[in-house]
Amino acid sequence: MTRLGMLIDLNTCIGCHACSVACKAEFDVPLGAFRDTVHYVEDGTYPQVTRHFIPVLCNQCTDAPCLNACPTGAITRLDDGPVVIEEGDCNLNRFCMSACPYDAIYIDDDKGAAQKCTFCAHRTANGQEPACVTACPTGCRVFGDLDDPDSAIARKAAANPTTVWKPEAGTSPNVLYIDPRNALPLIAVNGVQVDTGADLAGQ
Amino acid sequence: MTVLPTVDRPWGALVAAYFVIIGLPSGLALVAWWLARRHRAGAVFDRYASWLSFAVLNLVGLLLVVDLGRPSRFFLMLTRFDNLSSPIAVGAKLIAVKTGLLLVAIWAVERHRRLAAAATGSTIVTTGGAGGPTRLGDAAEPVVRGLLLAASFALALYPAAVLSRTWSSPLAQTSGAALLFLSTALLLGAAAAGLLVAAAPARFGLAALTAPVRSLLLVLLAGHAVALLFQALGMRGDPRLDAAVADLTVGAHAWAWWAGVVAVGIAAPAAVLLAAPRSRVALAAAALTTAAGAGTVRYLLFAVGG
Repeated sequence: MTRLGMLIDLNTCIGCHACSVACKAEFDVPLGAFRDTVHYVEDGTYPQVTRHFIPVLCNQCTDAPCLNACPTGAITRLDDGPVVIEEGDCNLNRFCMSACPYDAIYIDDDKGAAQKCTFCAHRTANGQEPACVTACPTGCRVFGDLDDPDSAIARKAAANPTTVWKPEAGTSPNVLYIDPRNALPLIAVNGVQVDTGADLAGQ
Repeated sequence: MTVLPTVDRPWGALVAAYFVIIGLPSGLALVAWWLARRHRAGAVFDRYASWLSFAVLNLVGLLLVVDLGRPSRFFLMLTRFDNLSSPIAVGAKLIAVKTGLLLVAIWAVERHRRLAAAATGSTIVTTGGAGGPTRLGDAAEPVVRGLLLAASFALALYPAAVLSRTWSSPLAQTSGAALLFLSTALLLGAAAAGLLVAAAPARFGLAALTAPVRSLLLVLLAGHAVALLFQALGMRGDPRLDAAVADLTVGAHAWAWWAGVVAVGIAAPAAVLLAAPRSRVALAAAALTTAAGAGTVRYLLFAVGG
């Protein structure tokens, strides 16, 4: 059985947002919302400071809180694992957004439905990789079948210690991270976060 | 380390109001059942409670529809059965079922009243219609009443199930949350009963319920205080809960906790009820403050810690 997943190596992410832009272009994601973005987290005290770049997206959880929460059955799981939203069945009650510990779901007013990353199901169905994976200049994202021991993602996951974002949520994410500097918990402080300071004043 | 601002909550003021108000019809039904079993005038109260519950349930349904970004698809909450693990899906169907049961119960009560009034030639029927023949039949009416009670009890607890599945309401994930939603629902129902009993003219036949409602309020307030105490004692060790406790006791919501819940919601009504046991004005005042306190607890369970 195929179980699609993504492995993100934080050693090689340079925070360029090529993934975010590619995703925006692929899905025409509205202003202010993201299916895929990069958190910048500063750590330490001057002069011992560092900055982590942490790409985040829907974790396509095995035990998906959004899927269990949706009262209209609009959220379903594809055979190969990704969790998707049927736009026609969504009535925007937003329980999925409240249940998701990763802030991975947003409202698209134009479509009149909640939206989220689908691992680019329309691309993977044609044998392509997700747009964010293709766009990444450093190849920090590896996409494939986690249950196929010969796949690149399974081999890389086997060769490196991996972790997930918010393991305490108990959602069994299918997005894995190689995180040698233990940066992921830094974006877990005070719950779901977004860096609104990244917006420029427009001058 | 840079601590970034948290994202906006997906649910706003209308849903907060929904989770506060949805306790009232449940509490009313349970309190009306208790009063009807123990006091003759309880049958009269049951009629008013049924009408009020029906009105409030329609109001909360309207709140949900207005809050939806896509209200034209509200019906999906009722017609889709493919995800009954969703508490909201179950809750919406429960509200619909309870509304339907209330309609049947109200129809039966009003028919009782018409028949009783025709028999006595009076326009004021102080028995609430109880005791007369009904087209529902003696067997069907207890079934409707039983289902109504079961739905009311479930709806009293269901906000805990919904909010415990969210990241924005950590207090609802605690062991005492369901008990607090139940106790506040009962307090809201008892407070509504207190206001009705205190405000209704004598000819409505509710005055006999003054002492029972007062006693009920005092007992429920004591139970509620104990539930709050053990909820507080149980919130230790988890960083999110510690933060929520700090928010409640010395943070942004401290005024709501100390003034709204402790002073206005528990201490004031208890003091007024004990100081003036026969006063209907005191009962009305205690009922108002009790309702404010219970509503504040439900709001805090929804809002604190997200």
